[in-house]
Amino acid sequence: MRNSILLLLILSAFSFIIEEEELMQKPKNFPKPTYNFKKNPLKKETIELGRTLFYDPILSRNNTIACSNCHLQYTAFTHVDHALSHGIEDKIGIRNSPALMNLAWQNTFMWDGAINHLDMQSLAPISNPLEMDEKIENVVAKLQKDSKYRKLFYAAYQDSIVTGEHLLKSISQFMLTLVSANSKYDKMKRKELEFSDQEKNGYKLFKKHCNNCHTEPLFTNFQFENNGIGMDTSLKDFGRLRITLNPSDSLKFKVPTLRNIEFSSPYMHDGRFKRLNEVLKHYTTGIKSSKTLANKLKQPINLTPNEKVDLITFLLTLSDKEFLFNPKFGYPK
Amino acid sequence: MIRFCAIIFILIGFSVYLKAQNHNLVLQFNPKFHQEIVQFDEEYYSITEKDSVQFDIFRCYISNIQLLKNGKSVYKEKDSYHLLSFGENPKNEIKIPIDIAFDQIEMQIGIDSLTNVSGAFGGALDPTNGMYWTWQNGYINFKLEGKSTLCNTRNHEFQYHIGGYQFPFSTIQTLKFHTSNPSISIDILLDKFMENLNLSTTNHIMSPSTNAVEIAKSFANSFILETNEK
Ligand code: HEC
Ligand code: HEC
Repeated sequence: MRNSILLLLILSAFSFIIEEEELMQKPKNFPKPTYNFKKNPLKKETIELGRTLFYDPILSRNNTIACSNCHLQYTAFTHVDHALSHGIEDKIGIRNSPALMNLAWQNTFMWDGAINHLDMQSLAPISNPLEMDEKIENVVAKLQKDSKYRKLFYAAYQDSIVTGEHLLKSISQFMLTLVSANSKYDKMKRKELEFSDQEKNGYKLFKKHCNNCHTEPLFTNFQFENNGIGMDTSLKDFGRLRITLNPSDSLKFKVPTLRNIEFSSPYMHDGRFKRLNEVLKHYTTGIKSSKTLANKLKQPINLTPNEKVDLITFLLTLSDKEFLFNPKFGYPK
Repeated sequence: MIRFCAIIFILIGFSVYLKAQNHNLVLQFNPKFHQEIVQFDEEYYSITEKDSVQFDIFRCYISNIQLLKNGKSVYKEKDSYHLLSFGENPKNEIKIPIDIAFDQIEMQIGIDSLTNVSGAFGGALDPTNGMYWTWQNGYINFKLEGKSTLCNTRNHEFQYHIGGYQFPFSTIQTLKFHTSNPSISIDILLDKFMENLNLSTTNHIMSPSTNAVEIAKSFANSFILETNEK
């Protein structure tokens, strides 16, 4: 009797682990996620609710803009073609929308780190007058009136009363499942395939010049750095300075991941570069000196034309088509 | 076995009943201006003789309530987060069903930094309460809005949204009162608070800053035990 209970316990623990893995990929070549899942345990119904919300313009004042308007799956959840984000009534924002992936490993959000927790992220676009321009209180009221959402909230929380907490946590759950870890690079790391000589050389150059900021395997060290692109004087965006009010943070922006970089053009916080060779041109000959320029970029990076090609070939191994076309992340049926 | 369970259930039920009966610790907060309880949205007050001040919105977080006896903690409220709100539908009382002897009470004005970085919560901390900054995360520890002829702003409005949890702009404040009375009345002297503010220059604070830290300190100094209490 005892033994069988023990067995049952062990089995149920296993099934729990397997189920978790089904809800969200936990790649072997990644560190442990930093998101606290104990406070918001993943559940199929809650993820589905979050996904429905992510794709629903009901979150905006005039029901026209959804999160997915600026975060489109096929471009690694960033905006297509717009250097600066495009919001409600065609209003233009002040920054380029970042690609969204592997958010369970990230602790601060936005280019300047203004957001301190994934759960609180959605509040920013919902209330931004240039994005969705709506009050969270109104969103809750709109959802409460909608019988589809009452059912979805009930399925997720056994409670059809919509609260701000549940709304935010369910959107987090969907975003947490957006794991990209099946690129050619990952498969090489997991020894499922090998790099070509060109890719190998690109990888070597990457480790030498880029990896200290765009650190493997997430391709960011999550620090704020000034990479010498200089300020666009029409935007006057000082980055991290706005948050810490500390002059030593002037012109620093969060190091973005380079995963799926092939698809997330345009690049940088203001979307100033369209192509990867423009980015490499910047790092080799375009660095603008200033007080807060990262130490690592004070010495010039020299790359021959062939080396540039190799480096870009490596960057393309970070593309993850399984992620970009995974139907689980797409518009809900 | 069944009988044993039944007894346990009755005991639990009884203790829950008892707990519900004694709302033993009661904290009441009263915003005052020149000794009068503040009337929101209507009454006009003056700081000096030549001005007028009117209050519209006043909300404030009280958290981490703790009782001490002889300098030692004897009770800490769990999940101790309360949102006080004055004016329309006021919530100015905190009731805690305990019966413990104490000689000092401590509490904080605002939300601690750990809670600030731990994501979404419900109840008093739900972001739909309008006490959360959306463009740069963090709780607004207290909010005071109104109008004054001293403010050279649109409609003479002033808005103080005071918060910030990160060094060096942490605004959370600790209050300590020596009392053993379980029914505590605390006055918030808005006249004193407003006198210390320079309304003509500082009338719009909506983000963490050195200024916000100063205002938070001055705000905490305007909380006093009601004098006829001791
Ligand atoms: C109008 C376009 C727009 C809409 C709508 C929008 N976003 Fe964004 N999103 C942006 C921009 C621009 C940024 C970067 C802003 C900044 O850094 O200041 C961003 C940043 C983010 C980030 C931070 C990513 C990182 O790596 O730091 C997340 C997560 C995110 N958005 C999720 C959402 C969710 C969820 C919604 C819907 C509730 C949403 N966004 C709606 C444009 C938008
Ligand atoms: C000192 C740290 C640092 C180093 C070294 C560095 N980067 Fe960056 N990189 C950044 C930062 C910070 C940004 C974002 C800057 C901004 O938007 O203002 C960035 C942005 C990028 C982007 C745009 C990403 C996007 O989604 O918009 C690409 C591509 C990029 N870097 C590639 C590289 C390559 C390739 C190298 C090596 C040759 C490299 N970086 C070296 C810090 C660094």
